[in-house]
Amino acid sequence: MELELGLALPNHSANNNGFETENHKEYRQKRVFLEDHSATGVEGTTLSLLSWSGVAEMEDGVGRPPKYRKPHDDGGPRRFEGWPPTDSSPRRRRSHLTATEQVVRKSMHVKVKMEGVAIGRKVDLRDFDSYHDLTSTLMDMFAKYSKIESGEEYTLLYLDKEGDWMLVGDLDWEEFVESVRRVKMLKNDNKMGFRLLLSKN
Amino acid sequence: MDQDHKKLKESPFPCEGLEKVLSFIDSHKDRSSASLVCKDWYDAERWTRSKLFIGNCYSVSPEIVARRFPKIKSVRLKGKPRFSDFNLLPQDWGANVHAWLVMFAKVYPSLEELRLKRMTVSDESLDLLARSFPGFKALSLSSCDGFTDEGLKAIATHCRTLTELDIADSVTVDIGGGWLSCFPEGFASLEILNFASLQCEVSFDALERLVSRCRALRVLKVNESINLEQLQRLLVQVPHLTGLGTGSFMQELTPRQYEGVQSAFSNCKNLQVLSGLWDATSLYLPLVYGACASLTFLNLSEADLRSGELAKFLPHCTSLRRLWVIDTVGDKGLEAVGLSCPLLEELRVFPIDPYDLDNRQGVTEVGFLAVSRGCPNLNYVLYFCRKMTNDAVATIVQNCPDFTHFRLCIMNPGEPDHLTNEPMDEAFGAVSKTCTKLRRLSVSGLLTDMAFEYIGKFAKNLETLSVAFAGSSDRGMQCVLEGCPKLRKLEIRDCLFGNAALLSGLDKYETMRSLWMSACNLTIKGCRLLAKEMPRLNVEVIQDEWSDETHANKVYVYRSLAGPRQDAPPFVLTLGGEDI
Repeated sequence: MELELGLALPNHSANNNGFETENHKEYRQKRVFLEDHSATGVEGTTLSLLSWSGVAEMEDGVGRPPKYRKPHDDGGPRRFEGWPPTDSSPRRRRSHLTATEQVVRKSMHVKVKMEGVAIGRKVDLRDFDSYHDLTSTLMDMFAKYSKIESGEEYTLLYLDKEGDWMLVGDLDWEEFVESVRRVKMLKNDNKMGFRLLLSKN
Repeated sequence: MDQDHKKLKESPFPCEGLEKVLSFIDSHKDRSSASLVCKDWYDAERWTRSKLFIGNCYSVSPEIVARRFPKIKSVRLKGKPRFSDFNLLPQDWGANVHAWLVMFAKVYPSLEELRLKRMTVSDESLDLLARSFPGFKALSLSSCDGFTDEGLKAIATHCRTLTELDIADSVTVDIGGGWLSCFPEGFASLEILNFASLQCEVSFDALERLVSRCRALRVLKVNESINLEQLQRLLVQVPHLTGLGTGSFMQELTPRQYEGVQSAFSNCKNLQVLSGLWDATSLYLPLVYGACASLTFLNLSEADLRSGELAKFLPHCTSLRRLWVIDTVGDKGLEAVGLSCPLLEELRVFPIDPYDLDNRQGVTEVGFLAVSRGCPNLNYVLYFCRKMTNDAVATIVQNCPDFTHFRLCIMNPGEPDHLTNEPMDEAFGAVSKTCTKLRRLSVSGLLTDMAFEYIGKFAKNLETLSVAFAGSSDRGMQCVLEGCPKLRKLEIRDCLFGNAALLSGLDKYETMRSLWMSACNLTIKGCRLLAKEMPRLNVEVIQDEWSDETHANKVYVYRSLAGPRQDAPPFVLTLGGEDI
């Protein structure tokens, strides 16, 4: 079953200017391609390995007032287990909320939905270090659970932390991981334009 | 039992009269009061009680219950302390319903209703339930765990007179959807079906057939696996629904399908409760507008709406009393709430991403103020935000003095008033002073003992208090324990209250349901002292990686007629007051 995905590395430097405006996120119209995992790999810039300490330091910035430090503080990133208390809402089911886990994102579970498949799958982004890695795993995963027609092409969208659906591939892998909350895989067919509109929240 | 009845007949007050009168009393609090009048009244009450409410499953044993109440038809049972929702309780802590079911099967064969909250329910238990009560009608599992497809299959297969199956936000992992297909072809009694929280794919055929058979169905909440087209087919069967939870809105509809779905919604003239709406976008949200005229409860906590979308939606819901939203609607969205929902009584605003540290997202005091101005009947609020001010809260409670439930969660621990940089003490002082009917309060932000002085001094109707990352000394907790006469549940985490604070409540804890303290400054010694002084309390220390021989990191104290737990796992230490 040969599956092809639309994804590639950005050929621009990772500045965030395109994402500053709050209400008018434009979709990048370019279609981007990635070879499937049997190919030689992606051309272009090499991705740096994901560095998790960056995330931890961000969490540190919240900082608990010193007088509330736990007696056995190991001095590492603060861990406010079970805080904020959002489990009282039905939303705890959503995997992009780590409400049931510690604040320092020990796990980075993200829900992935493929068009045509009723129930999504969850992946832990820490298991991957590149777009290539992620997308090939996703295709394998869905191929196992659902019937995917050969030659079917998919476009990947992701829900960013600002609540907008964006085309996957516009950010550096690291920035992507920090920003992504959910992933959607839509079939590439001639209704693509409509789909993109549909996905715009 | 015959002896007792004979005794009743001999009493001066005709027992038939007393029993008849008592049979009209539903409230368990009133019944409790009645039972304390005298022995005759105690006996008459226990013979006529049919509804059982147990707020803490460990406060009493199945045997004690069976001895006292011979004729129970309906049971409401709660298990784990609330902080278990936030992962503060280890797995396998307890609150397993099985022993209760074994007793019910023996003593209450005509049991009709079972409503559980925060209990562990195994498949074996569900099977026992399904086979033991021929007239069983209603099962409700709220925030429960431990069961799978197999247990639900047993319920569907064997409960011939089932009217309600409600699996509200119970935790199930990788559950299958085959259970829905197990309802027999002749089964048609269902009135309430809620499987919205189950992550499984059900057979739509089976669901459609079930819905078409159950003519009395009034509440249907499906899960995310049901799409719009399928929802339409269900709605045309049961347009008289009073409660609907939709499936996913992520589907591409042709114009014809769009019209079909829209028309199906418009035919739902009786809808009072609407939820679900996963992935609802501005494109398809208008589909539901036609069903919203009589809506009293709109639950948008699964739909990440923006302010504009909410502003367009709300004018269609003129009767709204309860609204749940996500903070993606922003302060602007809440302004729309203030403008469009004059009858609003309850507002809950959930954070889309509690760990978003950009501080750009969400709502602030501005939104809350706007709602309070437009919704004077507001009495219940749950509000997650990143910033708040004392002045705003003071104004809010001036606008809405009738709060019974005020749950404010400023998400950064220890966050001060963002304009004055002062503690948030005055905010909760204002709430305590102004809201004389206040029964439940959750505090947050930077708080000193002053906040608790206010609460102790003014919140005379307070029953439940939740505290985190607050207080400056033991005095804070002491103020609350000494000042709030109706306090029933006190849950505290990450505060510096120590043994002196704990022991200041010696006389109090037997009048309360429970006390939870975690990540505070309690020691085993202090807990032992409490246990020694108050032998009718269960003083339990839960040992975890933060505990050692002296530090008691998680402490759960509750009154109990049943004595120490018989089923405590090894990491739960029940203190008996020996060797101080």
